[in-house]
Amino acid sequence: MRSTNVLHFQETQSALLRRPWKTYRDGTLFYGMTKTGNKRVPLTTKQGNKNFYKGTRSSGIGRLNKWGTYNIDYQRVRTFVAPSNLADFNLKPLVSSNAVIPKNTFDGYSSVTDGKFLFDKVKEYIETGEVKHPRTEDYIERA
Amino acid sequence: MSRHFHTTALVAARKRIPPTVKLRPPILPTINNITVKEDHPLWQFFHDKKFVRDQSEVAFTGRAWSVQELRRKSWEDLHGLWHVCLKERNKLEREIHIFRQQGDNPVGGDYQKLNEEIHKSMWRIKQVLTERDHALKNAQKEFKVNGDQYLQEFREKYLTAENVETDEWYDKLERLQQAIFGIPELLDADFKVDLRFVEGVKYIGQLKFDRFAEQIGRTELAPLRDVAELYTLFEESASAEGVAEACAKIEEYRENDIVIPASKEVKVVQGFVEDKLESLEAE
Repeated sequence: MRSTNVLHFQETQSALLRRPWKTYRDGTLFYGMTKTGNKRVPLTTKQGNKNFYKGTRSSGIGRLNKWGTYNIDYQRVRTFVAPSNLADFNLKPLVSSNAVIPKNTFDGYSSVTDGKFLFDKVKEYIETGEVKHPRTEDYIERA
Repeated sequence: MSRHFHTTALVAARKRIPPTVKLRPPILPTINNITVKEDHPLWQFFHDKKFVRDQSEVAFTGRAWSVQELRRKSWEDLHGLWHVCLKERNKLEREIHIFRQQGDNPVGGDYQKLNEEIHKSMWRIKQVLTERDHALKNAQKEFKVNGDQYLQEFREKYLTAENVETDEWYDKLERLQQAIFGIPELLDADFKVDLRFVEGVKYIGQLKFDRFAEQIGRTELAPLRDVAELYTLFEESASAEGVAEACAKIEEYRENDIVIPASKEVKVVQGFVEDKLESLEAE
């Protein structure tokens, strides 16, 4: 019985190239192929040989037009929005080591990201408005 | 500029230094000859315009913000805190780089430790924002399942309450509009009406009508025909007088015999909102 086409995968040109023992002329392995260890992790930008360029998807913010000038598409350019009132911003990068870390509880919910949790909080907000919780040390707040 | 050979002589002639210009001794490239503006943006990489800080200046006793503390903070606070941390780290990274270049590896003092501690604050901010994002998405899923039931419950409570012309109920309605339908208390000039907004208008309009129609003897207007009628109810205050006023307007409107189809609801409501904003501005 003839095997299906899928089983002939070794016979194609690219499949041959993808073999880990296949080396380039300078002796380097085909990129991403190691002979040992876990082989199924994505490569980083630092890995691979000279033929592997991963990039950071950070370029390509425009197109060359037919005269060879690069037209920037400002929709694709990254913008960093800085807070407007940074000069009179009070918080600092660190807090006092004497400050007690508050405790959180998620009783009745799976976690802080539980959909029911936020929905119930919204319901509570609609009923009571914003409630100022006590900030004592032994008070366990719902996050 | 023209680049032909027959013009090069002219171009070169123009560049020749005229004899009237006096030659002065050259300005030596020393650090003393360089002045930097006081408000140069790159000063943000320096602490008090110092090249590097002393070790005593970076010694610290604090700790990074904990996730629990950051959960209490608003979006604006987290945004600001992120930038404060980032600026501090920019300074530290610069200083560490200078020490490394001088051959201090590992860098003495608390530079590295402080940098890592601030980094901790920063990834915790990210953690909290991720939590909020996931929570929001999950809550939206949850709302798709149980949202209608909640709105039905709220409706029943509103219709059976003894007196809804109180500040408590006005506030509740306002909060419901904002939290469920995204209808802000005050509209911006460039506010965009979406389907959710229209849904909210319909829900609130119908709610007010059902509550007060019997009281003011206007049940003959039911069922309300289109979004324009519901919007007039939505606009008026949630009291018997407000609904009575809206009903009078609806009666007037019905003489036209226009019914707005569902496909044009968003556009029509956008028009209403813009008209309202314009009239407010005129006042």
